Amino acid sequence: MPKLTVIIFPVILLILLSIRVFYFYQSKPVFTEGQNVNFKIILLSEPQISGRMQKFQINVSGTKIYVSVPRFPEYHYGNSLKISGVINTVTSNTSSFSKRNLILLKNIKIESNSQSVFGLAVLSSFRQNIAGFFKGTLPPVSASLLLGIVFGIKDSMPKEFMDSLRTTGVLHVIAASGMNVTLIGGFLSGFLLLFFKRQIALAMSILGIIIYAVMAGLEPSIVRAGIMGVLVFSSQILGRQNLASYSLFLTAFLMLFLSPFLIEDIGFQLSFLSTAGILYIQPILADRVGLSKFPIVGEATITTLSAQIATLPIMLLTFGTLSLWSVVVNALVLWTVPILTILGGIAALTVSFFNPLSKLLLYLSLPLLLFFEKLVTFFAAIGGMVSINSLNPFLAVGYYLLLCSIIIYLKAEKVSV
Amino acid sequence: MKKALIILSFLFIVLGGIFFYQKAIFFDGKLHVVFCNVGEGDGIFIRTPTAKNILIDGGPDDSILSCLSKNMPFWDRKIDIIFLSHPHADHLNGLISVLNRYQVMHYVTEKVENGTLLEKTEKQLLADKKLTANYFSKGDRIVISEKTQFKTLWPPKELTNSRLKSSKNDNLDINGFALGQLLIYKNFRVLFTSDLEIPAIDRIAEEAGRVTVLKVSHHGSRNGLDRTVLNFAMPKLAVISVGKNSYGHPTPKILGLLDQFGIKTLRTDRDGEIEIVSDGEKWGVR
Repeated sequence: MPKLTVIIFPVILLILLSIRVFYFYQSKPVFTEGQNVNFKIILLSEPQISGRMQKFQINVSGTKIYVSVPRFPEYHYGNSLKISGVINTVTSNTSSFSKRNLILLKNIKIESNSQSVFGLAVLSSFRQNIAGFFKGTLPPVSASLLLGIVFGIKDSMPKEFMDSLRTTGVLHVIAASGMNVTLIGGFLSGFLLLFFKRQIALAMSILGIIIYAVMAGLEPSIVRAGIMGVLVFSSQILGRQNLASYSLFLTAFLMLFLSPFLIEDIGFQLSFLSTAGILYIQPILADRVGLSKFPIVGEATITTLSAQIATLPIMLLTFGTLSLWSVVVNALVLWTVPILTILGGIAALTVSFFNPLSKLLLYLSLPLLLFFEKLVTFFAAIGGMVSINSLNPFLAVGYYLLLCSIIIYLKAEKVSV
Repeated sequence: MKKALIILSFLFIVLGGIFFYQKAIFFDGKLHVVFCNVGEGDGIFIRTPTAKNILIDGGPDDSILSCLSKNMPFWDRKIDIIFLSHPHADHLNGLISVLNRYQVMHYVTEKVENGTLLEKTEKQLLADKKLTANYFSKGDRIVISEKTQFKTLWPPKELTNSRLKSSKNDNLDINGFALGQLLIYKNFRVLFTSDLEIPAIDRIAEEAGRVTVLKVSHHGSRNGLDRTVLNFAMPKLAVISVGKNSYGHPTPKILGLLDQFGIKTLRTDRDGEIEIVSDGEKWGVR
């Protein structure tokens, strides 16, 4: 009987999801060149600062409209804006082989509404307060690196350093994701368990994770990690451990059902696949490759490899480039990330109460941040981006089928032994 | 717990190392004038022999921040004086971030405004930070220490006043009201010309007399320099603060003129950040 549910349940979910996605794309809005449009939006991520401009996107049921306006006056996460403009479609070469149509807005007028959504406004000002303190204490690259590592905030990251992170394949560390949620959830529950009963401590940790996710800015990767974190903690409250092992798929289902356009979102794809890689490929590699013996770098190498194996075709299809140093650089810097998350996390918590302590913690994180920066800059200067210009999408599908078969085979083999 | 203690003490030791290293290089008792590589715009950082931090303009974007953090010790978050020569975006944009991230003690600028949204942002920010702008004109000076001072050579008060009365509000012509300043440290003199043009630039060169370093006005625009300026100032070194642009800066005319006078010329677009160090007598480029 349980065997049957294991098959039927996912099939039903899959059918539901297909129907949802189908109808979603049927009713997707269409914009024409030169059309006058206006929107009322709430900024759900901090605008990206780029030289003299600030940039953000408006998401109209999955259709992204790119807005680029002068740097000042500044708009912030949580602001409610009235935007009007004229649609302007351009073709951009995201990589040498894939062309995308980008919808831009011309003749933009923005009215900023001073009152924004209440809860969001509180979190947003809390977040600005923290970001302001970090930036006012540390050098610009270090501050943005730490904000990236702890919260995924990357709006004021200097462009050259952002490029260096990309070239060396460590851009993922500045996307708040699973690692942050795991660390923060673990840290919170460990701390709260000292004072409260287990159920209550776990419930409060869930609340903490939700607040963290909203504050970090609801990007797909952080939403994914947040929901998974909530599921894992809930399963512990309910005592149903098996919920955790399905949590990745349940999360993906929930997110796609609510926002089907995420299926095209590169952040969602990478976040989902790399987590799958870490969940299913890492144990196999750890068993078979003798790298775990090496302290500090061994585990990071295996984790990086697993995530990369799982995301390789997507990376190639989207960016057309592959970072040669990725595994090396990841192995060398990843050990600093948990330490920096904890130092930065406590610093952020204490900003409003006792900022000499946050200052001290930020100074203490400076050596690690400088080490991280220098290493990344060094490897980025060598180069090491390989571009692969034509990858057949069918090859990618084949790759994943093969990958799944290998994983299932190796798992089965292990069980039989 | 033991592991955390080991990590923390390790971080303390490295941090101590960084502290003593920076203590040695940023407190050398010399004057440092750094023309930051901010692209098409001006952003000049000055650290005086008595370790005061002064900033003239902030460039068009946030790249000034990297320049500041490179040239100041990490714990020093105080800028003693900001000079904004005039409120054009390529001089002002970066200052907004500086005001947000540093504790600024004095803010000095000129009185003519251009009424842009950027300027409104600046005014609001100054009010938020409870910082009063000081409006300088010809004849004003700031004495930093016994041997270091700034003399303001431009704009003359009458010129500013007549413009303020005319109630004209033109963003383009405010270049003519920009602050022109002379930095004097013993025998070492630097002339900062902002975006001033002929004939204003001739008059401040005459006023300044011989200088060691000339900041070529207006990113090497054709009206930013002439023979008169070079005859009066006779600089040993000329610096052009310029980046990628569509105006043809620096113009061949200016480059030719400097070459003709045999003046060594450095450009931020080719040479990157330019740091000049002086003990008041000797000087050198780093």
